Amino acid sequence: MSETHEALPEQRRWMGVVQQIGAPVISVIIAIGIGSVIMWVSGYDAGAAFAALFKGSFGSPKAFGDTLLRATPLIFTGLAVAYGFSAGLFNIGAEGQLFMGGLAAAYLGVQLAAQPWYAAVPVLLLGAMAAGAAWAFVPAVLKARIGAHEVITTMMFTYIGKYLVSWLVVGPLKAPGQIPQTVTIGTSAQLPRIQTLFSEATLEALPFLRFGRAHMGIVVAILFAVIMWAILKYTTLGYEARAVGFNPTAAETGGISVSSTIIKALCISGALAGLSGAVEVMGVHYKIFDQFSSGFGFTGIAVALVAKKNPLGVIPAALLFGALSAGSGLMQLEADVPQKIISIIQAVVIFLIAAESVIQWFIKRRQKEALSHAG
Amino acid sequence: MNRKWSKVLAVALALTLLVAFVPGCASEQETGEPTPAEKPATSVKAAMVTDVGGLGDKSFNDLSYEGLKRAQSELGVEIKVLESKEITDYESNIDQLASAGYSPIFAVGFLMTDTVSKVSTMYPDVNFAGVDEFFAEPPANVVGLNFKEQEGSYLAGVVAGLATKDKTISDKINDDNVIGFVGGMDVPLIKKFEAGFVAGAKSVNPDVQVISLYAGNFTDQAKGKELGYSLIEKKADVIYAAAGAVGLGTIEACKDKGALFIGVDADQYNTVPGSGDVMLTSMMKRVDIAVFETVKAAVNGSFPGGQIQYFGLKEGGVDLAPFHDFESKVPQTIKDAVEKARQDIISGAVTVPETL
Amino acid sequence: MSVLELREITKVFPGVVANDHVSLSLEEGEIIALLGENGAGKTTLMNVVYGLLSCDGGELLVDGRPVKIKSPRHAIDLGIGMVHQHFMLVQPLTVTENIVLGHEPARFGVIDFATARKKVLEISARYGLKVDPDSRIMDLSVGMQQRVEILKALYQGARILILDEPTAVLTPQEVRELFAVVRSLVNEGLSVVFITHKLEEVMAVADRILVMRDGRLVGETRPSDTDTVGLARMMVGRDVVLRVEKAPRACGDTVLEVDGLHVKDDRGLEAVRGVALSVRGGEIVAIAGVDGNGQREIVESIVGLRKPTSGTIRLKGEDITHASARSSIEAGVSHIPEDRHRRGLILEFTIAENLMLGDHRLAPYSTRGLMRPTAVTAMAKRRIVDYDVRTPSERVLASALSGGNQQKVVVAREIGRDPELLVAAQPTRGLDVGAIEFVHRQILKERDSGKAVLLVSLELEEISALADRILVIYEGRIVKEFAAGEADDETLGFYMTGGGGSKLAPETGATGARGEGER
Repeated sequence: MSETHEALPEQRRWMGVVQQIGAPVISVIIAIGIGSVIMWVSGYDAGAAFAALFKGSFGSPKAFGDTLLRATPLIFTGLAVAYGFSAGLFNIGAEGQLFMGGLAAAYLGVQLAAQPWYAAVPVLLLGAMAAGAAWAFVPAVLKARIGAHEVITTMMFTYIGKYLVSWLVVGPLKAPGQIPQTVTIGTSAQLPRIQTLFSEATLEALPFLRFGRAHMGIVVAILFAVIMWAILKYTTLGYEARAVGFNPTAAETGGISVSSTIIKALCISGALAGLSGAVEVMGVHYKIFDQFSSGFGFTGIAVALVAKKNPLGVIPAALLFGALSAGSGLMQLEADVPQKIISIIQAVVIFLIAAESVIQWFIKRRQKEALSHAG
Repeated sequence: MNRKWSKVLAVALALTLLVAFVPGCASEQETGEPTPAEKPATSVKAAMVTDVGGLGDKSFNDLSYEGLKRAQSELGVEIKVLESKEITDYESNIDQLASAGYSPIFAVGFLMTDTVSKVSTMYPDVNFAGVDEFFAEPPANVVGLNFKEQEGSYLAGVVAGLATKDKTISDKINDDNVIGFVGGMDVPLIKKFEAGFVAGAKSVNPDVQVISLYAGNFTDQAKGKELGYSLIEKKADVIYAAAGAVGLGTIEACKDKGALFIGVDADQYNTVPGSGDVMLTSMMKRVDIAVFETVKAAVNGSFPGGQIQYFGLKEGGVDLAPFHDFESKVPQTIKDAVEKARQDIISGAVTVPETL
Repeated sequence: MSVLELREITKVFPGVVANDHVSLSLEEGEIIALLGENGAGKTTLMNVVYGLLSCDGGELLVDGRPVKIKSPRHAIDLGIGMVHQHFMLVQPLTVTENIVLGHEPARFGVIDFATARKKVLEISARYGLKVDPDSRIMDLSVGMQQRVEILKALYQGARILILDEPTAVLTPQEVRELFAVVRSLVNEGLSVVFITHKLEEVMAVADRILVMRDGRLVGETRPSDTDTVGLARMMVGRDVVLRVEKAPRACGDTVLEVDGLHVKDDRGLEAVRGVALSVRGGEIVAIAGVDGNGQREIVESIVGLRKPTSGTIRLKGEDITHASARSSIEAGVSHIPEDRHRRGLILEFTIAENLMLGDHRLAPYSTRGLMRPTAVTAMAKRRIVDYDVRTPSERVLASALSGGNQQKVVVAREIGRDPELLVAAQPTRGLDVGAIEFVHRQILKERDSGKAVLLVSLELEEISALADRILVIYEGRIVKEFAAGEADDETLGFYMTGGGGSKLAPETGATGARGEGER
């Protein structure tokens, strides 16, 4: 039977390529179909709606900038959740770590206002990573030592983190004025918008650089996606995390300490989520307040699933979510589709893409079953 | 077998999606804009951006939309509403409306203050209005629409201060001279409610004890219920909540343990079903009036840019809702006291403090 | 007339032809053995007969009539019963309840257990399948549970009984009892299909032997016309050495020394109760015993996966009693785990990634936390050749390999590391003869190069093929020691099942003298 086994990997690689590229495209087409039916039934112009969705997300450099802006925090939370998945951990509490990262960035950004950007920005990013990691550390230790499930503990820490921030912005860290928010961080600590990096003459000559609100956080995010990909692929740290994620028993047999791998992985996940909060503070709001995250930590779970936990896959997955979010304004404005219908369409798209990985999982399992029947 | 089932499943799923969403969609349509009435047309296109609460919040977003719809039917303006789902949507929504030629554009909620300041500089020809927004120095094309919540709360305080001594109103009134206040967050805006309420109550009942508790947010209904319980435990029999959705929990506590409730923002007798037996009255913020008046000014070419406007009792920007189920039980003396206080404030004989 | 006849049965899985035009017939009162390596298609063929799989071509006849068997229920109605490798019994229910499950005799809607029990007793007496009808399944031994499965098939009216690898889980005594049962069944007119890959069993029990390879029927013979070597050749398609040649032993220094070892199992019960043993360089010491007598706990203690409650473990004089799995590996202990899917391999990893597991922190595979893919690839390519792993590339996932090739990866890693001590726990479990031969050769090579080997096996055949010394374990104690060739399977089986008395104290102070007295 070994001959047939040998034939399979090649066959699989070929099928793999088709599945990886073809299936998401098919999912999007089906999603557009179902979305059109929903809009048609409820009396809206589906063609105009999807045209507006595209125009609002990719139609102009500014629209694309809006997509990038929205994708930025999602890349980080997507990476956070995906790295956790790789080590077999479900960090459902990225939202809380994001809040702590944002808090650290908002605090340090005020303290370091006098520093030049090359001193302030790295310190803020590192501080946010440390804060996010610290927020994941206790759940990590609880998981490693007594097996307390990280879904429960990270979620609990999310509540604690959010309430802590909400108390601080009303109380000790509140800026003067009517609004419960912190003082604006120093200009040097802010992540500049991409178009501000170019002179007006350059922008005149190359108008496609007018990325609107997109800020340098997207560059940091893509950099981190590549770093995480390299860590998983080319370091013993990533190797051990994946080993524990796939088969903790075999990893343990191979001399890998399961508990310390869990702690490391969850803290790294927390650090990435912390960065998500930092880029929102440093690139968008320049301060922190009660509701500064629109559930990016939770959306990150969906991003990681769509990306099939691949750090590089997180980038297009986050862009998809960013685009759906960026296009919703024009869908309302130009096609008169209410936000609630848009949310349904977005859910259908995400559902079908996620379902696609479920379907693939089924296909793989059937192949496995077939082999074991034969074997 | 597997394959067959997955097909059946897929079809079932698709059907469920349709069945589940279609009625929702249909009802969504009803909230769509009414057909413009045959009114003298104006070139003004007014629009609004909701905060993340969206339409259907039975509060500021809905009230602002009411104001816009009234402007549409009475003034013949074209209107548009963009709902925000995330905070990131604020800027892009306002930006898109501005570049599509809408003016004035209403931004609902204080979280959009910075955004309005920023976008307004990019569109100097477009007028912006911020509901509940306090601009340090509003630009010439921006108006802040704010409310003298303390004045309406003062009237609520008068009602509460008298009602806690009058057992004929309800068997929920006890012997103790205690009333309660539930605040959302301990911020200046909410302090205005508390200050007005306390001043109103003391003006008619100097010995009354007002206990104030804060939830720390505007969303946690369980917390609101808990705060309601502790107020009732401390013998409060009339409770006023300025706490958004937190107040809904407090209403539950009042129904459970027997106390009267004073609603906030909208006439909560209408917006919270089944609350009639505890809803004494509500302190209404007439955002709809503020929005309508602002559109009207824009149509007349007198948009009040560069100002912070305060809508008080005089302007009809705040008011007390009817007593509804308690209309027959509330004695004329209380109604007279409310009316006297209203006149005193409008005439300027009484100035309601903004802070405690 | 044949009771069962298969004509040109073909079953295709995506990418694999599992059965390729297989034809066979079964006569009344006959035992046929379906012999073949793992993956030869034996179980698939019988699953088609039992209605678990539908065939893509060919014809099935029962009592001469063509039938299309759609489900196991249908098969049972036609008089076909099957006992699977993994029993399908409800553990908390009694024997009777399990047997009547699905065919409950009911009176006015109430299950009539009295009648059921009587019928079970009747069948068990008739075929010599002694079993207590009122015991709960979870209290029964594996052999007894298998009897219940057979009884269940008979209760349901089976005239054709398919036994899928029935001896895999049994002790030698239980195997003999099973063979007696099978013979009494055919004496009563039943027909039996016996699926196995073990040559001795086929010779002992079958009337007729059908050999399968790569989904095809490659030969038919009778025990009287052949021997195990001939069968092995037919099965594998080439000459196979069933018992690898073993050079005389050249003993070196003591490598592993275990003394007074007490270990608890997962449930917190004492599983190892004072074990002392030693292994010298150049010898294979085998622990023989029935599964679950403390072997696993001994192995896990030595390789650092389980903390002993007391006692010492020394490697070349160095105390490794409390070493972690990592420091144990670094000290020179290699471990072929008993369960390659659970402990041995990460199936989602590539072959190369699996081959460096345990050494991944060390140069040349990684330096300062960065992996060296070129070094890893070079090592993987070398070991794939050295250990004859059949794969197109080192980048293939371990899950895509056959069981034998998977085990070769584990062996390549553990022996390729060049350890001081090799702990091999059931290293050939579930492998076919070709792969068994390979693994045995590797283990012997390790011994011949002067390394110490501790072998744990449930297969007496394997133990007698490899061991220089045999320690028999029973209830957490070493109850007897034999030199190679000193005891036959009967004697070993006697001690393995407590025949020597579980009170027998462990031999103490004999660690030094143990190496003596052989050859």
